Order: sequence, then structure tokens, then C-alpha cells
Amino acid sequence: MKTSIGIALAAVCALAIYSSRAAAGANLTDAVHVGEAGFSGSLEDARIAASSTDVIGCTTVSNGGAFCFAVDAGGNYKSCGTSVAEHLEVIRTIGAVSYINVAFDAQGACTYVNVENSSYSLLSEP
Amino acid sequence: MTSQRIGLVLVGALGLAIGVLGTKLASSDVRANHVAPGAEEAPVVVSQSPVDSSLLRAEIAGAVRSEVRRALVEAPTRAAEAPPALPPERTAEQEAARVRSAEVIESAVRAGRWTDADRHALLTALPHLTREETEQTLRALARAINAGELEVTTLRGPI
Repeated sequence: MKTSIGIALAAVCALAIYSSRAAAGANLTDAVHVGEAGFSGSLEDARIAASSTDVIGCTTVSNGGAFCFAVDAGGNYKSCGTSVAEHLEVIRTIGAVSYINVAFDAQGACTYVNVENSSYSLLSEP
Repeated sequence: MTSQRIGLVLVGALGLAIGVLGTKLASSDVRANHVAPGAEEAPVVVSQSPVDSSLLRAEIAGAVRSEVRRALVEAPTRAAEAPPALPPERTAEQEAARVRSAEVIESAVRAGRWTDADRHALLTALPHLTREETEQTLRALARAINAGELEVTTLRGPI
């Protein structure tokens, strides 16, 4: 009996410590946003979004091009292509927890690419 | 230096020489026609040799040497400014890939859907495109998606 109580207390303590660690630091969870001239969102947030349609990301090709795209909860799909060296340089920094912000014009060309790699995008729970 | 450049230099030098000679002759004409006030008007006799010909030859030779020297100094600069080499000739495979990538997008727009088969076809063509063609292709696809002309049905991204 004493052993069972000890194990239970240890488990409660472990859970409390784990929870306090996981909640430490600022954290943001945001859905993918898609507009008429741009889109933004976090890869990780899109992956865990309540909506099954949320997607955001970029594809790069070795002959000097990239294609960025996003879909929001409403199924709005926007995308753009680029071969601008500065854009490619930024796009190559995209990682699993990156927050991406892309603007595009009416011709489908990316006009601005911003990638944020910070702890804000890390999930509060692994 | 090209033969064309040498020719231009010689023509320039010849022009300069003619200019110098013309100036000298004009100057001698003025001297020959000048009559002092009060003097009897004498028959105008143009001197056949009012100018020191050896001096004139030296001036012309100097001008030519100067012009040639200047051209030689400028030659390397001109060579560096040569127009860029023409882009390498495209292979039939590259041209076929360009046509194919455009056709894939046009066909998908007609169907109103961008499928995994379209994605695969474009991914097969993309490696053969130039950087410029790649951007044009990606932009064309993006424009069609953004305009709602294509419903993306691929399991992954459009590309």
C-alpha cells in the first residue's frame, strides 16, 4: 500500500514538473492566413490546426526556382513562384517550426518572402 | 586589336593630318593675300612653299604616332567591353521540356484541376528548364491557382 502511494505521488510530481516546463516561455499558435495578395502561417501550427485543410510551405528546385503555397481553413488556395536570389536565400532557411509570410502579385510572382525562426512557433507540448 | 580598329585609327590619323595641312595652307593664303596699307597693289603671287614642309611632316608624323599610341592603350579596355557571349544553344530535350511544361499547365487549366499526374509531369520537365523558364512556369501555375482556374487536388503541394 505504501509503495502504491509512493508511486502515485512520484507520478503526480513528475507531471507537475513536466507541465511547468512545457508552459514556460511565450508561445503562439495561429492558423494559416490566406489573403488576395499574400499568405502566412507556421508549418507546425498548420500541421496541428483543427482544420484539415491548413497547409503552408515552399518547394525549391535546383535550377533556381521556388514555389510557395498556402491553404487556409476555408480551402482558399494561394501560391507564387520566384527565382529571385534573395527570395531563394530566405526560403532555404525554412525549417519545421518556421513562420512564413509571403506576398505575391497578380501574375503569380512572389514579391516578398519573410521567414521567422523563433521559439514562438514551437509547440507548447511535444 | 582588330583590323577594323586599325582601319579606324588610320582614317582618324589621316583626317587629323588633312586638318593640320588645311590649317597651314589657310594660314599661308592669308599671308599671301595681305597687302600693307599704302603699298602698290602688286600682282598676287602665291608662294609655292610658304610653309616649312619638314616641320609639317613632323607634325603629321607626331599626330599619327599619338593617335596609334592612344588606340593601343584603349584596346584592352575595348576588348573587356566586348559583348557577352551568346547563350549556349538549347538542346532538343530542353526545348521539348519547355513546351511540355507549358502544355501541362494549359491542359490542367482546361480541365480545371491540378492533379498528382500534372505535378509529376511538371516535375519531370522542370529540371531541363533554364532559371528564367522555371520562374515563368512556376508563376504561370501560381497565377492559375490564385485566379481559381485550378483546383489543386494533389496529395502534397502543387510542385
